[in-house]
Amino acid sequence: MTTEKTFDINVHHVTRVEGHGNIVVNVKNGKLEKCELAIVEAPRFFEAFLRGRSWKEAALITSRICGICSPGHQLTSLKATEDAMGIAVSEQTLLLRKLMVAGSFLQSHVLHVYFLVSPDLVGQPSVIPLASSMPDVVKRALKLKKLSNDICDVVGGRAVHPITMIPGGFTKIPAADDLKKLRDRIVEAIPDIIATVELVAALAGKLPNFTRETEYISLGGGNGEFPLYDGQICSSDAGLTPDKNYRKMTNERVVRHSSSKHTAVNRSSYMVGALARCNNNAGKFNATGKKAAAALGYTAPCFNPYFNNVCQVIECGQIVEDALGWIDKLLATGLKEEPVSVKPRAGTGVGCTEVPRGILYHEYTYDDNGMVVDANCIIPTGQNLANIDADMKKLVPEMIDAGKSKDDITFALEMLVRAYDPCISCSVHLLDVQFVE
Amino acid sequence: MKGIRIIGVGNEMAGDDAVGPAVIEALRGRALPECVELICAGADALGVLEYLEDDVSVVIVDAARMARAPGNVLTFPAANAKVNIVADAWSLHGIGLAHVLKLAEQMRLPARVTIVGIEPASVQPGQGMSLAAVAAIPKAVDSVESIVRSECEAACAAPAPRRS
Repeated sequence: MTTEKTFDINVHHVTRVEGHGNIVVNVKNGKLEKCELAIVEAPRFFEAFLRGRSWKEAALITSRICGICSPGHQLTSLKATEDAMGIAVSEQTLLLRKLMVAGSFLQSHVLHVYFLVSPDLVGQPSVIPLASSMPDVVKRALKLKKLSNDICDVVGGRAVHPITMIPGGFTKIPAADDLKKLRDRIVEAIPDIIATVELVAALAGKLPNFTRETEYISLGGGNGEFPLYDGQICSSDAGLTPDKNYRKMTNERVVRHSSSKHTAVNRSSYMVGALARCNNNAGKFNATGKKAAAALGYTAPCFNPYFNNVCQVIECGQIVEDALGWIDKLLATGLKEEPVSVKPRAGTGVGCTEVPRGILYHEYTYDDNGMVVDANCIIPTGQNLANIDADMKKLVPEMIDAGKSKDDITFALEMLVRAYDPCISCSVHLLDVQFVE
Repeated sequence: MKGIRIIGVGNEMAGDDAVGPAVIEALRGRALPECVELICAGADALGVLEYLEDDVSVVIVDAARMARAPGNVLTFPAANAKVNIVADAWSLHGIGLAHVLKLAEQMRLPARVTIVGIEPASVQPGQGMSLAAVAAIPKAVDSVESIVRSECEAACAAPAPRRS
């Protein structure tokens, strides 16, 4: 039982998330006065960088928004440029792009679940203590990471910041042999995915039993496939709407405590990401996705934000099966070089795809020479911030009423932020060395 | 399969953090024995872990704060140094080499790791390398070549290690 009736929580910065965010909570006489996730990073001005740059460069520049979601930003950017210039892509291009999505999702989800979330579930501060007690688990995570990197490498020419994808198609098509090898390795990885599902299923009981229904926004519609690359914007409150309406489906606004804008549509906040995708598209799970969902105890709709991590694991299974299908289609049709010829023209276009952390929008306006006049990118983490605040505002009073300690509340809040897998920035890698005397 | 892996680590857009990859580039122009594999890991320090899963000699070239003047080059076995995990932030962007060396130790990975550390002047993003770091590149290349000379004979003579 907590004896404190008045306390402040200041987590500067939340660890195991991408970038810098602070949790600020003030409780006075048992009453919550303030509770927010403050985003303290400087804005990065990518939209301004794009102005005056060529249509050929937009995807390469926006890829640098994120080292993890670089394929996702490229794909969204390419869709926006193609929409603006009326460029249609072939079935082969579509399938290869979906494979890129698969590689990108698998990499991000596997690393997030194994390295950043699992320590919470086993009560460890980081993955390092797990490495000595469960080295095979860490090796499995690395093996899956390597596979997903290689998917992006074979299709995109490079594991991070791919180089073969251009408006209209590809500069280089992977060799059939390389795709066959990739297929064999994906098949070999299925036991690793099953082991991942089993591992998280065994730990899922440790996830806090907290629910707050909100609006869930993701891609939806489409051809019956679990939509990650194409489809319409789907809201759990309002149904489907074309991606052209993305501004109405985000409504960005500036808030005082965050350098990243907040968004809202039909309620004061909404959620994007794996839980939103699964809630909106559970009917489109393939056999592997269904099996994973059953093993993990997920049924749609689920209103526990901590289950976002469970849904990431379901998606790993979902994606692996879909990727095999896409490779089979490509191999059955036969891969061929498809020369791309684009005549730039003026126009405005919107691109919308799912990236691991949620729905992503890019919009560009081009002039007659194909130079960017205006650009707008709305990333998933920004869309989730208001929802994280709203979750915290429900969670903290519930925990105070349940007599939980300040430490318990702090831990639950950090875990909540991590559950959303927020991606706030990139960082430097540097060794700090002391010599043993 | 190669017997000695030389791995450059660092973010090429973050000042002197670029020095690890720059040393690998410089080494590409040198005549090195067959048993040497040059790897540029860039900012993906986690990617280094897979190269430590075999019983081979690994040389990691990276910017390292060693309380020396900028541009100083020191060679030391990883086991002899306490590598501090500076950033408390574990993140997918922020998994640094210190985390990776610690993970390798905990997982009891068999690679024998030597670090060629270059003291940086600044690792601020958006700037090129400092003159001190640029001047350190030939020194670091010499250090790597000297390790290669002493290790190569044994490595080349030994049976080829298996990569998983």
